[in-house]
Amino acid sequence: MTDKLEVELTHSEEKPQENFQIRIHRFFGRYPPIVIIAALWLLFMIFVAVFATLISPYDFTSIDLRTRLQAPVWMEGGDWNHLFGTDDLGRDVLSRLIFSIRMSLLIAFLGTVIGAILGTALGFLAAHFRGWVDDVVMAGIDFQASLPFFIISLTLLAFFGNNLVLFIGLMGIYGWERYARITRGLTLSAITHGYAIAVNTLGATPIRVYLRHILPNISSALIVNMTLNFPGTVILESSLSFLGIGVQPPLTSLGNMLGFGRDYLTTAWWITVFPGVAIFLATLSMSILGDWVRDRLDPTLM
Amino acid sequence: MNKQEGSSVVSLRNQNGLPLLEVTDLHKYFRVRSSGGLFGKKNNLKAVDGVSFSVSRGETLGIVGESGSGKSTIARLLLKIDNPTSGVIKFNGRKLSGLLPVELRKLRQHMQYVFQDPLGALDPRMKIIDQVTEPLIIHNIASKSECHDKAAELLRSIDLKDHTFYRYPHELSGGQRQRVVLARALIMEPQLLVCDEPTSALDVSIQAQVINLLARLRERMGLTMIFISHDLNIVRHICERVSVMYLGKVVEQAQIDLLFNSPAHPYTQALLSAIPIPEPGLNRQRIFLKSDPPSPIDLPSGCRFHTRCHRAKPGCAERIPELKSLKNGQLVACHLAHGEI
Repeated sequence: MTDKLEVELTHSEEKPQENFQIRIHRFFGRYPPIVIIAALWLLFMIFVAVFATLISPYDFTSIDLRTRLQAPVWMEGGDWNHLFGTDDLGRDVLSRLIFSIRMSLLIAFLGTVIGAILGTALGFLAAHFRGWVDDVVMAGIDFQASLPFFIISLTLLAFFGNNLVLFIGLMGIYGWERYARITRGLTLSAITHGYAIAVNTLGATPIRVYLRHILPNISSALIVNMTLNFPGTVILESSLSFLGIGVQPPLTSLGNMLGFGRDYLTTAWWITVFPGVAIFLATLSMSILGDWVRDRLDPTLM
Repeated sequence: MNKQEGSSVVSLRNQNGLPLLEVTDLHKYFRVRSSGGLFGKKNNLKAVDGVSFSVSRGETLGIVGESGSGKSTIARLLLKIDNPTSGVIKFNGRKLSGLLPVELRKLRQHMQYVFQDPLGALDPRMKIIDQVTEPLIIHNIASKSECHDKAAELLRSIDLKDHTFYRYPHELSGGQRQRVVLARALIMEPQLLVCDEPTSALDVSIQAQVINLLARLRERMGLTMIFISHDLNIVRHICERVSVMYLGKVVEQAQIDLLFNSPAHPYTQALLSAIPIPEPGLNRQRIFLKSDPPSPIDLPSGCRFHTRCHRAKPGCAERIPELKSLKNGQLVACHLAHGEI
């Protein structure tokens, strides 16, 4: 993907004679404003997540019962000490929001990466060995696709107790079947292609053929699937945390904040609305970006 | 190249008595669904049906035939891209079929394949130089910088300029791509090079360039080649011996001059009559073949060619002709040529 972007950037630099307006127009044709906004928002959230300890005004666990349920700064009763107000234990909502974004993004990224690696590996195995391996993987894909994954997660978390590793693992399992299906299909068509046969006749090991040659060639489809899977993971994490079986206190996540703020929805809406908006904007931005990436990487849609 | 490997190559090259490649009674059947739909019946498509030949060191064997005659399938079988249904392929006296995957990978550095479609044969996401270097890295021949130097030297020797090294395949022209494919095949200095219609995807002007390059490299490296083509002119230019294939069988096999001067099989005669003569006013008697070749799933009885043969006699449909030698050493599978009917 970066290759393509670079190529096009250098192209536009080669034509300095075009006037400014046309170039602006072309720039927005290539990168629509909504895509730019989505990308900037995601970058902002990543920035917040990475530098959470530096930018949060308070420790997200510090309780101050004297300032319980304080409103945000622009409302009556609010002050500049707590920009987004405080929750029922007097904890700063902004600080909690910052750390929640960090936790939720971390879980979603790890979950997405684990799912991508797991699914891609199984897809390669199925395509390489065919036969019963293929049958088992395909059966697994069909199982996964027809399972109500949310309920399975609930059960597993309830049974095995809640810990972060299991939780992230579950997020990783979510959606692996789509990577596996994409990888298997594209690999089956790639290994009949000249380049894969060619590398094979050079004497390369299958691992080399798959990782050095086929993977780069099918990566665009996998990247697109990652961007589409990511919002789903964020929402799954939020839903489970909202129900109280996801991220456990004292840790906090966006869903977890929503869950605990639920009781104060009528009196202190700010506890739930800010994390809710954060979830909404994060998933929306990722979906917009994903759609754009898919269009960009699909030569038939150019 | 490590020491042990080097000595084994030398010892292989010393067995000059043996042919480099020996193919005996090779069969390849594909299971295909003849009638459409989910529940159609499966039949055997006989792509290669009992082919035997041998190629000695330094020789170039041409395989010609129309599309569907099984020539590309033979190439794939020789390189073990596909496995034969039955039959034996011996390379340097070793059977290909019993090899372990590790042994096969090792052996592959001595036999290389040049593809019909150079764009498809190159990884679209890898730079030219990396693709040419790759065989050396796979077989752990030299350090990375040495590999790079060797690849660059080879590419320069086939007239590819330095600035193309860091391009991607789609940025090159067809002729350049085919030269890259050749370079990749030849960088290991293989003993056997199988070229599957290496010029059919190229312009006529570039065809000559690639063919001459092939001939030059063959001289320089002492290559043994199998050259598959449907272009008889090119085959005549580059090959020493030719096999003519029809529907999965070799119908005629002879030294190039013998075949072109006195074709014995009616099919070969028809093929040769289609070559234009580059002299105005001079016309040879064109032999037009009737209709298309029959389906390889439902083969004609007796001689497979009798349905289209201009000299066919009733007896041709009854017995299958064997590939036998004529007095002059030409191998032909035809009842008429052997005077059997």
